Amino acid sequence: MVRRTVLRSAFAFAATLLLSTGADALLFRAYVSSDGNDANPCTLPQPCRLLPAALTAVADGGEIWMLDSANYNTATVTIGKSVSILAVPGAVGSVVAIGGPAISITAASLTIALRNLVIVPLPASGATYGVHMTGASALTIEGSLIANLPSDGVRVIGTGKIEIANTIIRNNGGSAVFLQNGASADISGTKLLNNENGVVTFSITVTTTRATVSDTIISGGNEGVFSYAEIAGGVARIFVTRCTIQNTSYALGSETAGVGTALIAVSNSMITNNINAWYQSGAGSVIRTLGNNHLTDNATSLGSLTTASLQ
Amino acid sequence: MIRRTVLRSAFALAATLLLSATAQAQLFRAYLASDGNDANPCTLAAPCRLLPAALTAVASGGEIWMLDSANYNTATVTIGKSVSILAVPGAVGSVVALGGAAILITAPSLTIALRNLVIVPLPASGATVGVLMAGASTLTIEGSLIANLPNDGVHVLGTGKVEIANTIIRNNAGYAVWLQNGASADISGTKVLNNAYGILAFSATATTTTATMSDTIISGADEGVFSYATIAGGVARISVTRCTIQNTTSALHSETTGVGTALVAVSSSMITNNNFAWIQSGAGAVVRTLGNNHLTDNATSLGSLTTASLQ
Repeated sequence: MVRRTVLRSAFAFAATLLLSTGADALLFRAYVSSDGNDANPCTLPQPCRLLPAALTAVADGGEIWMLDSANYNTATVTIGKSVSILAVPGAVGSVVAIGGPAISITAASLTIALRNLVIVPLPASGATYGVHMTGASALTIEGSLIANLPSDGVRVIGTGKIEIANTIIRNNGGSAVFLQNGASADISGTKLLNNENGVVTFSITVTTTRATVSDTIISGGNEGVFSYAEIAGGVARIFVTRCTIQNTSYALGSETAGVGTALIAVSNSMITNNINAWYQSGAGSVIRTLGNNHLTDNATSLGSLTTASLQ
Repeated sequence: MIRRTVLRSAFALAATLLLSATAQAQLFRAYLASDGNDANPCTLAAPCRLLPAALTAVASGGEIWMLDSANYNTATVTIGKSVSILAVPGAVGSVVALGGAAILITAPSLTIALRNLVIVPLPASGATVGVLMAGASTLTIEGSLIANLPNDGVHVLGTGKVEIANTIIRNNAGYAVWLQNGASADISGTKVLNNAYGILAFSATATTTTATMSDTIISGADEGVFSYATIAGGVARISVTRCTIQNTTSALHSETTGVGTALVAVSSSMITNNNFAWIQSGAGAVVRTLGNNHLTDNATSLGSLTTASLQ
């Protein structure tokens, strides 16, 4: 704490001058720390302790910095404004799931970034998901760890948009990333390890749900990538490039209930050591290879594999 | 402070012996800290507070180290000498844009590196772009975050050269990277996420403006990559390899006003889930595929796609 106490006093001047206009103005940067107090104004000299206080103090479009390694919530954190939440590098910025998801986003039209966070559940606390987004907002998760949740790591329902970069999502009891009914995801440079499922797109309404997965590893689990549609007009698609999918039951799964459209398209990837290299089932479901994949040492497959040409 | 105080005293000998000849000499390494003071000499033992003081203190070809997490400017930082500016790993080295660009380079013939910096705007402060380079200098941006700017993330005018590696550029309301009138860029290992536009090479004068983009993701934008020439003799080129461009309005866009040359060349990449896979418009505009790309599930395209052979 010595270091930061000095840091705080030095910052008082600059912070006051630069980053807020008055005691009552919302802050561009709100701060939380392990020795903070929610009665504080969430400034650097007087940081708050928990995320809800910082979310109240921060301006729309601002940032919340976690200054040292600690846990920063006691219940589901509902984010209701555009904000970046980050732990300073070198700190573990923990947000635990207790009695629901760790982080919930229900409002629409927000732009939210989570950077350098660690999201895990408190065991036997009724935890559900890591991040649950039901509002049509844009969320970026970068350089974070999402692990050990009893259900999905990241769950997006509805037309929200999510970018996941340089993140590890592992050992979750549900899908690493579950997308349903119009959600759109871009996942890159990410490791999805030993989750029940990797990336799942579900359309059970007349929506298009889709994910693009690049430079990513999916290892272990039941489904690797899985697109599923069960209503006429429902579309579920996953595009995979420069990825490895290994040691799953179904590496590439595309299924419909006989209506709707489901697609997995894969290029430049290695699919190895799975029980089913692909699983294609139901009218309107397609597994498409671009002919430049490394499929090897998978036990079997189910349904047909469609080949398309590179261009 | 304990850590750094010890570190400082330990460094005193070395610093005195090696890194400055006298108290008045410019420093090879100038230091900034949250508890620094601009009346200090910017040494490790007595660091400065803000970048302008360190830029005055540092020798050409030297370095500025940000020693802890803080914001290090109060106005546009104009860099007028060759220098590396870096936050030590584990620190957030923040430079905010307020009343203009966060970082401005107008002088030619400099070699500048920005490493481990975080560049965001102070809301409602008249912020413009993240990094604006109008001088014919060489700039490297590595391991940094450039986000939320009301205009471009990186804007290069004239014959400057920029290298961007392992960086995240996201949620900017302009282009992630705008290159105009002779600029040259290399972009690798970078995530370009949810900007209004991706990468632009624009020649409005009789110059050649080029970008090479490797191992990079562009997700969510109006333009993915866009080469545009508007004058005879003007050449704009973007070469793309091992990239993913997804969820844009036009992924690969090459256009002229009927004069000049515009080229987008793409290999080993996935172009998916875009409205236009390509737009080729105007005499002298070419979109060239090397035949090994995964183009899938784009709604449409405009103009012609030219195929070249791999060699």
